[in-house]
Amino acid sequence: MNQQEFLVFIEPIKEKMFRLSVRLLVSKEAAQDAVQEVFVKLWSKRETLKTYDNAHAFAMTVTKNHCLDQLKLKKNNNLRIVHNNYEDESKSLQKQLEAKNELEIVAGIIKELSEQEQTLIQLRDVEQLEYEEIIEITGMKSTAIRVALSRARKKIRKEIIKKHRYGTV
Amino acid sequence: MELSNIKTLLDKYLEAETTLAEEKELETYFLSDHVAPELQEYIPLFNFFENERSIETSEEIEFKMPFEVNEKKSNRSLIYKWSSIAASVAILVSVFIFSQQQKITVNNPEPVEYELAMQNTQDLLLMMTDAVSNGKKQLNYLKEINQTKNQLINK
Repeated sequence: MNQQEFLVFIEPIKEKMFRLSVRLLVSKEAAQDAVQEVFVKLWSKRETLKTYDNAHAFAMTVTKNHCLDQLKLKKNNNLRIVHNNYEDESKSLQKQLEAKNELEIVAGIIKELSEQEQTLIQLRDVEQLEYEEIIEITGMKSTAIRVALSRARKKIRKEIIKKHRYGTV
Repeated sequence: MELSNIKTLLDKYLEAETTLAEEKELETYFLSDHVAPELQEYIPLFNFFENERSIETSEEIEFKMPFEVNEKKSNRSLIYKWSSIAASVAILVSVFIFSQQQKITVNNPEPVEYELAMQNTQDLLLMMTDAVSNGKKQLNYLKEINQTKNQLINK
């Protein structure tokens, strides 16, 4: 795979990769960095990319794993510096107060979900991928995906209703 | 689409049993303006999904491929490689040609014309004797100095 072929290969999925990274990492800058790093990883494996049945799904898997790694790193850092934790909370509280916008409320709710649930919501509801693709990307079993997704959707609904009522009363 | 239909779809949706087509149906329903009031709470959710889908990388992330750098590097090293080869070849060739020329001059010295050489040396020697005699003539003036000196002393 030469450079041109690689560019053609990543073109249709780079936005998807970016959105998944934003979903998991929140910050767009961090997501950009993540996507760049995933590109480097993919490029270094460019010869084996051809051998995958669904190279695009593989690219998404690499993206997902990379973002989860980044989150782990971040969590470790946060644990070490306790003060940061405290600040983060106050920030999110402030954000909650400022989130008049319903979309931001939904975004906030989804951010509270587990990483796995976030990934599934992103892949299914935002990217509208078929279950087969999600299976390939996440490496989860079909039933596990459905159970987790159902749980995530119910959680979101519950939270939205909570906020909805709270907002109107 | 009928409300009851939507509700059953929603239940299926929450159980994650809907197909993609059904989920798209739900989305178009909730993005339309006539959503039943009891289902209002789903509007932001589907709005959110629709909104998220349109998120795109900002222009800065027109990905500068790290491998471009790599390839440039390899290009550069290729250039280095070839230029060094070219340089060494040039040196070899020039040394070879130079030594060949020297061999030629050593092997084929020009034939000497002895008479001409004799003539030339004789001419040279004559020129020298001329110059020396000229110089000697000029020395005659020194006698004058002596004469005037003697005159002064004798007085």
